[in-house]
Amino acid sequence: MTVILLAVVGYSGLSLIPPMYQAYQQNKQVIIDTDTELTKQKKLLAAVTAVKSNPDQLDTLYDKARLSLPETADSDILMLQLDGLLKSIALSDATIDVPLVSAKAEPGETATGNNLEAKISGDIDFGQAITLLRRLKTLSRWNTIKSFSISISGDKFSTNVSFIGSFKPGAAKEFSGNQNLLSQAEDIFRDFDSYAKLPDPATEGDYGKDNPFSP
Amino acid sequence: MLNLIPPEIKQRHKTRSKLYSITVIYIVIAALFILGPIALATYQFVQNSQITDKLSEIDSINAQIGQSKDVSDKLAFIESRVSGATSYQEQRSWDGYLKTIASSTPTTVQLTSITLDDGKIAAPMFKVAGKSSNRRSIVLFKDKLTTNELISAAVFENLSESSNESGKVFLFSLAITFKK
Repeated sequence: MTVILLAVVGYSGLSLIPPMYQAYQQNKQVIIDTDTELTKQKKLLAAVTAVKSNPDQLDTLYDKARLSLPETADSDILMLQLDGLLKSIALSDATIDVPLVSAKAEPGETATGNNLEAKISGDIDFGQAITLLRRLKTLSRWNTIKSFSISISGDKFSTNVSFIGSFKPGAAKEFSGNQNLLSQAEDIFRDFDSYAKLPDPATEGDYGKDNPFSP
Repeated sequence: MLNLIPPEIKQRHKTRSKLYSITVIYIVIAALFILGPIALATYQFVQNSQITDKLSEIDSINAQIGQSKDVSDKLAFIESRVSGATSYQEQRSWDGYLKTIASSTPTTVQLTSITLDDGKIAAPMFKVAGKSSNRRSIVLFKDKLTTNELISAAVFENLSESSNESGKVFLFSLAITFKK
């Protein structure tokens, strides 16, 4: 009798305990994962809440980030920036060559992938070339030098600087909740100069002509 | 001492004692197999309610973040740019390379061109051409470059001679490779 009872209780216990223990272990892991997610979300909320109290700083840094590495080629903006940069070092006569292409470059276009190859050329002497290279490094549109040449014939210089203006299409990943992000961004963007005011039709220019063909 | 208990009673005591032991063992095993699942079921219940609470808290936080989606989107964008700064922005100071070449150029040598063909390679190489009325100055230029700790090699690619109205002119071209 005892043996039979033990067998019945043992069998039912053994058939119940392992799956229940397995479920217990799984739930334990779910709790750990949920805790991690909760901590992350709390961090994210704290960061978002903190930033909401200073919207101007966020907007300024967002504009700087867009200018540094835009989602599209933004050739026209780069052209305005280079124009401003060259004027700042009295090189208005230098030639700017920026391909006007879309983010999705067609075969044969100069811009391929996320690169927009721009060129500056002209009668730029050695000292001006040094200044130009230094200012390109601090141009708010991030770029990397591809090649350059400085040559002199008689007393006339011929300088060509070719560089890649970067852009990065596609949506950014989800914000990680980094609470120091804005101060890090301030540090990174501090040394860059746009050299151009971005065009704003809402506040700039006069519009409307009866005859748009009139001079 | 004499044991006067009759053998039948002694036998009954022994049997009762065995039965008692077996019953205790049975109760312990039964308790383990019954209380164990009950304890696990209780733990699961507590765990499930914990998970539910945490998930609803996450949902509530997500809803609050969702109300500030424009802020979190802007933060995500800024973060992506901050993390990509070193990949997309020039890390080299090219003006420094030019100044290094200039500081090694003898006063009797005139450079006529400096060319960088590839700004991406690990060890940047400049091609420099120039002229001088003094052959020795050209060699000195190369030697001066090789003593610079930033430069790994300076090699002549061409050295020729020509004449003009002011006399002999020596033309040269050099390949200068920087360490990094």
